[in-house]
Amino acid sequence: MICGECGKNEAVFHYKANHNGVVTEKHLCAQCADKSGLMSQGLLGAGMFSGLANGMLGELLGGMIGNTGSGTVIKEAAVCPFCGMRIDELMQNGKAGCAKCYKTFRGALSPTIHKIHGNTEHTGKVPEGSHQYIKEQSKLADLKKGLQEAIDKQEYEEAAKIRDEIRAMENERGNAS
Amino acid sequence: MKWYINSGVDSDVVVSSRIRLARNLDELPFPNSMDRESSEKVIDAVRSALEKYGNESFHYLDMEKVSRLETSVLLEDHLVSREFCEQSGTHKMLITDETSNLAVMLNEEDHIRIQTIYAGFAINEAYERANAIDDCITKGVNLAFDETLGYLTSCPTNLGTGLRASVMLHLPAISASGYIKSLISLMTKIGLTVRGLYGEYSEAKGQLYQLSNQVTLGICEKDTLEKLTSAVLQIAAKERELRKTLSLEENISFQDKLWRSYGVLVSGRKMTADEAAELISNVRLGAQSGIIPALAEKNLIKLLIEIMPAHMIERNNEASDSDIRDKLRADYIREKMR
Repeated sequence: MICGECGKNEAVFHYKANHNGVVTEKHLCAQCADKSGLMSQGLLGAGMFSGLANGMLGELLGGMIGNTGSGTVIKEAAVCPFCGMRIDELMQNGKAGCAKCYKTFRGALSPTIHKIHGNTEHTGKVPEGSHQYIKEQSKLADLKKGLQEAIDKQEYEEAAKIRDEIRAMENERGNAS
Repeated sequence: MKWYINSGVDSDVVVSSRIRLARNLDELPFPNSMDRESSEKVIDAVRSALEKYGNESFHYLDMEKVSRLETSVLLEDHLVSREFCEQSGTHKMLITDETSNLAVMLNEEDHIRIQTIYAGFAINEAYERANAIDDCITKGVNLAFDETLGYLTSCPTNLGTGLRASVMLHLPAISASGYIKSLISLMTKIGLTVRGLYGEYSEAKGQLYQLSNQVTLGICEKDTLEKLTSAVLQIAAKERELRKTLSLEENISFQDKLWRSYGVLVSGRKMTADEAAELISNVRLGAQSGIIPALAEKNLIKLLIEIMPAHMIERNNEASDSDIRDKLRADYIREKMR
């Protein structure tokens, strides 16, 4: 997409604001975004912007900053207490400093993660010793998939068996909570 | 032992299958923000986990004690990444096994990158091996894991399973028929990525392409592998179908191109790695479509790797000079083509 201001450079900053139901959208290149002062209304200052324009992840992150919906500023800690990574550094490099960064900056990172993966809930392997809950969740998802497959293949006896297993697991969980 | 000594299943189209699992220790900063002391802790923790829980012997390669030549050979063997070979303040280690199907990089972008590589189409086997090593490491260390985001990785693109499953495909017929671009856009739509192994996709050297999963969060390992498998089988079927059409006897210019490539390989006296890769790709296609029967039994992927610069120098130090190297390369190829 080309910058809506100068009409020359590639737009890397996408801004959408909703004021009393009136939606305004702007797609700007780095220079024009900087000039317009829109950057400072986003999550971060303009200083980190040049880095954002580099690479795909940078663009994704750039998109996320402009996409705060109502143009409101997300307030979250700006520095990770464990590794000292600043949110603007993280955005610039596209890399977290430690595992805790994902907790510290969860709100800011969540739209980005959603953009990359389209899904923000892990399914799959869980390391030994992790919470029982997620293990069950994962097993339940497998069972439900198996049930659908059995129905598709018209293996009703197998389907009934899986259905009972799912019910048992769900009942157990219901009793526990 | 090198992984490319064998040829494996479906190797007419699938050159190799590889798995990468990204893992990190919970209590230490990621390699991009860690100090040397922390990087030593990663090495100690993983090493003692493998020694305690792994029922086999591993080789531990201290990347600071490896020569530049050895590093380049590892790169050409596809066992390490370029980033891993760069000097930085952190201590890096490569762990391999007897078969060289396994290469665990410590302190690359993540603390732990378990990689397995197998010849041919063996993505499930490669995953099982990587998963077993992961289980073993998990017993000895506390891994960074979040109920919602899965395994926590330095780059958000690897969150979730931390799994990258990829296959190297030899697609000369699809390339020659001009289908690469549409293949790439089709794969992107279903969440897979195609990249040229060397250079851009449109002119990938040797017509070798890497196909891998893009998404790691919200899709489990089994589904990731199944999705990749189904794409590979379809691409392989298409490649074979196009090879058949191209090999028809009336397609004389196609046959001519392959035979000419063969002619240069068996009689050339000086050759760059790029030229050789292109010619070997052609004769490999010729060998597999039955056009050049004399080469049917040759492991041309092994040859393709063995003629790369570092491998040439490793065999003969004189090859450090690029002019001499090109001559020695042509000699080596002639000998292997016999």
